[in-house]
Amino acid sequence: MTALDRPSVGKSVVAYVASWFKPAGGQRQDWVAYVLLAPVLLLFALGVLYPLFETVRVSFLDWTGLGRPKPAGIENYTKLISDPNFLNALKVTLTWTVATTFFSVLFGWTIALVSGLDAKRTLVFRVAIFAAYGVSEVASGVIWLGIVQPDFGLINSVLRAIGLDQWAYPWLGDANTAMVVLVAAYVWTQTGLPLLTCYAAIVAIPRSQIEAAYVDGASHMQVLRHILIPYSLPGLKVAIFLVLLNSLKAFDLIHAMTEGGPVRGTETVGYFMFKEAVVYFKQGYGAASTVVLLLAVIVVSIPLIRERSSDT
Amino acid sequence: MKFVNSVLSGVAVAALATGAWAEELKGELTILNWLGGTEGELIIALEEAFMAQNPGVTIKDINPSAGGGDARAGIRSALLSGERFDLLLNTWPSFEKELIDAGLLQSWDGQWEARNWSASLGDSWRNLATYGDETYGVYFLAGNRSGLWYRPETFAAAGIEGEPQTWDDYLSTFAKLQANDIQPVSIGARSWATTEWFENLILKSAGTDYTARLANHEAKWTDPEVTAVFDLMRDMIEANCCEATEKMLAMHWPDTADAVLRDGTAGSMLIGAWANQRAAGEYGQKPGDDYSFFQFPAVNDEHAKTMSIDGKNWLLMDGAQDVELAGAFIDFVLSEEGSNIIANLNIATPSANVDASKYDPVVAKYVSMYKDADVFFVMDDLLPAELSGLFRTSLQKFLQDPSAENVAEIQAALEAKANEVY
Repeated sequence: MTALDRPSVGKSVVAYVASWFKPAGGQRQDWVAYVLLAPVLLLFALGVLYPLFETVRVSFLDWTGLGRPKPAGIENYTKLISDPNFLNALKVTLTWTVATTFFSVLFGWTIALVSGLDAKRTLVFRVAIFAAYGVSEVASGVIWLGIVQPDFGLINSVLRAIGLDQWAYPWLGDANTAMVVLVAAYVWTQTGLPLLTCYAAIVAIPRSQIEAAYVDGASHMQVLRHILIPYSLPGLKVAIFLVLLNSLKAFDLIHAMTEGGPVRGTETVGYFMFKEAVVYFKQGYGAASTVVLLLAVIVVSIPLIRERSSDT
Repeated sequence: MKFVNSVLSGVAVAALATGAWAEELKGELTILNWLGGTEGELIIALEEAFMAQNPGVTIKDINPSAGGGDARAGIRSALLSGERFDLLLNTWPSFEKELIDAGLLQSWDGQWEARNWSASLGDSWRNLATYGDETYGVYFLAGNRSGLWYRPETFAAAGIEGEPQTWDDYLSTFAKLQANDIQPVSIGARSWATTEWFENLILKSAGTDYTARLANHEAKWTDPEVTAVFDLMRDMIEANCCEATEKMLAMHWPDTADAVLRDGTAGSMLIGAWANQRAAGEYGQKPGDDYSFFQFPAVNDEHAKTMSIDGKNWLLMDGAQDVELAGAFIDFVLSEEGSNIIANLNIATPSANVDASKYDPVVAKYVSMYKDADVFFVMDDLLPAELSGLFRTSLQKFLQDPSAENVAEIQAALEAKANEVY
């Protein structure tokens, strides 16, 4: 087992860590591995397992967060699947997740491929795109609010300045256009991530291989098609996975820009969860929607986890 | 336990009142203070003045996390995490009731009688925080939620003389303003501000008793009184009162304040006293001259004196360490010195000890209206949170489609939710 060939999960981690301390010709010291892993396992239990267990437990309660909780059995879940607001949130989440993932990854991948053809001349461009990834979602929301503000926003001001007054519109006051604006704002912040992972895969390609292709008379398009695209696919897969997870969890931008409105038109499951648990104080109901969101995240994660496991 | 606390604190205060004043106050008071802006500054100013007067006392503030814009979430988190404090600032009667039901508060009755707070606060203010036979809150801030804010200059330019007294007067201003290229009303419907219109219209058309019954779900959301309010709102929309629906849904109340008070592109807007802070503080306008307000016009003469108000009060936690010290602090807040600290920041207090000459003309005007008004606490804050949420989105749905059919659906949905949550 080499440093690059790390185990993914379970007993193999213990065996891997223990192998560092195996005396020449002696027996493997598993207890050393357990001691070394203990702090991480403890933090994992406190930071992940305990909150997860609590969320599942609370999802079976009727509780406002004050006073004694009442057992609710599976009522929160049965109510959830017949709640039109939750069903609407599922629909919005699907639209939102597909749109933001598709456009972020498409733009990020395309820019990475173009950068792979000419790294020097695209440097400033890449830095500018990636910088947006470093902007917090709330800050991004505030910036975009300024862009789409009905009276003095950038878009409407430009439209009025060029005589297209009839196109000026209160973009966030209509659920359809509000969703488009939200997707645009989110794609702006997220494009840097697929750019980074895809470009990292591209720069790992041996330079000699690309140069050899050019020496053999390959065109830019051929280099792109036969070298850059195939080699960037691992980075693309990681990007799709990460952006998908980020989109499913998205909250800050939606809260800053539309608060899920108008009339719940941009309310994702993540935002629904916040409203039920934090605004309406239905801790059990909010926890039940959290569990459903968690299941969705797990389902989305399974293909990548399986693939990563099979790689090792 | 509550009874014992009340009796003990009553006895203690009685002892102090009969000559034990020589012993100066000592100890630490902990306050869960979630207020920000001018109100946040006010609490600090009150605490500092009280500590200056009582050098043996220290006051510690706990500032809960913001909770996504709703301080109640931060307060809940503080309580869940076992944070201990003596006093809690509150502005939501429905939340107050929830805390009482959870056994987290104790009554102020012992302190109230012993310190004679009735001399400072009228019965209507005490009644607002009385549940069963016990009083749990002491109001110290008050706001007018029935003020329609406007610029006298805009109205004068449109030929509108005086402030509209009746609903018909008010509707008649629309044509005059439109003729002057001014949009008559600006409504920010992105979040909750539309509820202000509903609440004032139901108070002015059906009165405080009916509104109280509706808020307690003793009246139905499908009642003709509720339908009548939607009819009045539809009249406004049909008279081209406001921005396009999409624009209303994209705006918060500060956007409407900008349009009415700063830019003068719209005639009037309805919101609480925040408009006063914004106009004076952010636009640098002179209260009473550059901007003013008029009371929401009468719809039904019988209920012309109704007024929607809000307020902030002090709640005494069940585990308060020193009830006596907490009572002394509240006594100071209601005193002449405390009330004038509030008035100096141009915030209205219901305390009778205030020197009203310290207010700016706008605050002085609405404080003067409390005297004869039939006041009712802002209804949205009385509703259970989930019903309040549906109430807000229902009004957005109404703006999208004000037809009678949609109104019937909205009313039915509100009634169904009320049946579920009460």
